[in-house]
Parts: sequence; structure tokens; C-alpha cells
Amino acid sequence: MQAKWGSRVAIYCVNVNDGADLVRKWWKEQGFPMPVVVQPQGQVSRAFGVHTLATNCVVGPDGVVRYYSVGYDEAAILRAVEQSLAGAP
Amino acid sequence: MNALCLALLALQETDAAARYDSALARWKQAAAVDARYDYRMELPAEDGGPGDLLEGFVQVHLARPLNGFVSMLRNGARIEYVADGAMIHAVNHERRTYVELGERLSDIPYALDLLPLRAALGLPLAQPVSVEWLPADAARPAAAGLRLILRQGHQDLWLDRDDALVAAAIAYDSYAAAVVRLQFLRWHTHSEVEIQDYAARPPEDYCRESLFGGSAGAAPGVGTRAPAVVLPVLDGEPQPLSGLAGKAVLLNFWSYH
Repeated sequence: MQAKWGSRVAIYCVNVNDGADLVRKWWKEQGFPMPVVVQPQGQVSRAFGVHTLATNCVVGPDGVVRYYSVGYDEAAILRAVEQSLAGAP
Repeated sequence: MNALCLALLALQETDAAARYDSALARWKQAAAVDARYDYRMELPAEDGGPGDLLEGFVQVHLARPLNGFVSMLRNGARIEYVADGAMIHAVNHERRTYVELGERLSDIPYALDLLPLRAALGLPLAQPVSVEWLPADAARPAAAGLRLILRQGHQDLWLDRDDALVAAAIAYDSYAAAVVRLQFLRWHTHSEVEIQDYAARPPEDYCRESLFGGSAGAAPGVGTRAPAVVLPVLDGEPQPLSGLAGKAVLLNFWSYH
């Protein structure tokens, strides 16, 4: 996804409920390029009402939520990203 | 072949209960913290004819029992996985049949039908859950939306018309005190939504902490402004979401467990 849209898309993987050490180790092992967010107080999950994993949310370039879904529907996520970019300069 | 696959195979054998126990034990012992099982199986038809084909995957997170996941849908059927080996079953709403791949009440604190569960465990029913239909979203005109009003907050589901639709969700409230399962009939052939809701107290050790850092708020609606949060990036500078204006931002909430 990042390769396709480059700097027009920012992907943040927000960890829920794991410690920083574990996440760091796992991230290194996997070699994921995107930034990972660790939130010891769960503040981001709370703000986004995350009850169930996996949850994915796309925020458009205008700061408006364009997609919110429980589960992982890659095609729908890609579509939402594409559509949110379509209206942006 | 992963551990879950072994468990499923074992279940097909005759001595289902014993096989299930041993398969579950093997499954739990395996390091399948985050396993994926791709399946392709045939559901038996009531009339003895060829059954529906069921394809999809089950994603398993064993270490954290409350990480449930609902699998994919095809041909009006689904496999639903409830964490910690609670139950795996396949449902065909069109034919109103289902196959239970494993159950044992003492091992299954939730995810059973309401009545036997309540009778066996003497648990009260959860707060009633209400459901609102959401208007079709411009981005998903071929979908119907449901907003599930949970005890805390809500959760929206979008049901795709072309999924031969059965959709399901397992939603947990933020205190892990209730599990709500909703089953939907094919929405384009039935105007009514069939709902089963039930609740159970998870085992004590599941209740020690909230999975999601305390009381979770409501999900931001599509079309509303995203909450103003700062993303505490691991080994990096905190990133205010507002600082990403001009980009599409994908937030993927995940857990190692």
C-alpha cells in the first residue's frame, strides 16, 4: 500500500495491550517498515472506540473518518484509501 | 499443517468428544499464537444431496482468549471462531443448518446458545442490545449497515450484498463481561434480522484486566472528524494525528496476542 501511494498514505499500526519490549522485538523480527504505536494507557484505542481486533480505520486527508471496520477486509481498506485520496489535491 | 487443522481433522472422527479434548490440548500446546487455517469443506445437506461448499479462513489468537475473529463468508455459510478453542462451528443460514466442530460446556464459557448456557451456568442475560439500521454509505452503496448498540458504545457492521450474506460479529464490551453474538439472515431475502444475544462471564483470569485499556469510547462514525489523538510512536516522536493532514491515514489496531 505504501509502495503504491508513497507519501500520500501514512500507515500506523496501533498496538493494543502489549508491552513496548514485546512489540519492538516482534516488529524487528518481522521487518515491518511502518511505524508502530504503543499505547500503555490505551488512549488511542479508547478514542477510536476499539472493542474488537482487528479494527481498521481510514482517516482522509481532510481529517475525516472515511472507513471504520472490525475485521480485515483488505480490498475495502484499499478502496477507502483510494477514495479518500481521490478527492484530495 | 497447523494445530488447528489437526484439531479439526480430529473432530471429524467418530469419538468426537474425546478427540476434541485431545485435539484441543494439542492445539493449546502448539505455539500457534497467531495461526491461520485456510479451509475448504463441504457442509452436509439436509436432503442428503451435495452440500454447500465452505471456503475461507479462521484466524486464531490463542494467548489472549478474548481476541475472537469471525471468518469469511461464502455460499451463505461461515465458520466462526471463538477464541481459546471455545467453539468452532459452521453455519449455513440459508439451509438453516450448522455443524458444530467442537463444544464442551466446561471449556466454553461463552459462545453457546443462550438457553443452555444460562441454564448450565446460571448467568444473567446481558443488557438488551438494540440494533439500528444505517443508511447505505456512499462508499458502499451495495451494503447495508447495522449499528449494534452494545452495553458500552456501539459497533457498526456493513453487510455486503454480494457476499451471499451472512455476517456475524463477536463484540466484546470493554470489561470483557459480555459477549454478544449476532446472527443475521441474508438481508436481501429476509427483512428481519435474527438476533441471538447472550452473555456469560468469562473465566476469572480473563477478567483481571480489560483488554482495551478500560472503558472504550464509541467508534467515530464515518464522515465525522477523527478524534484528536497523539500517536505514541515506538522509538520515535509522538505523532499528532492532526499533523498528518493531507495524507490518508490508515490506523490498524492489532495485538501480538
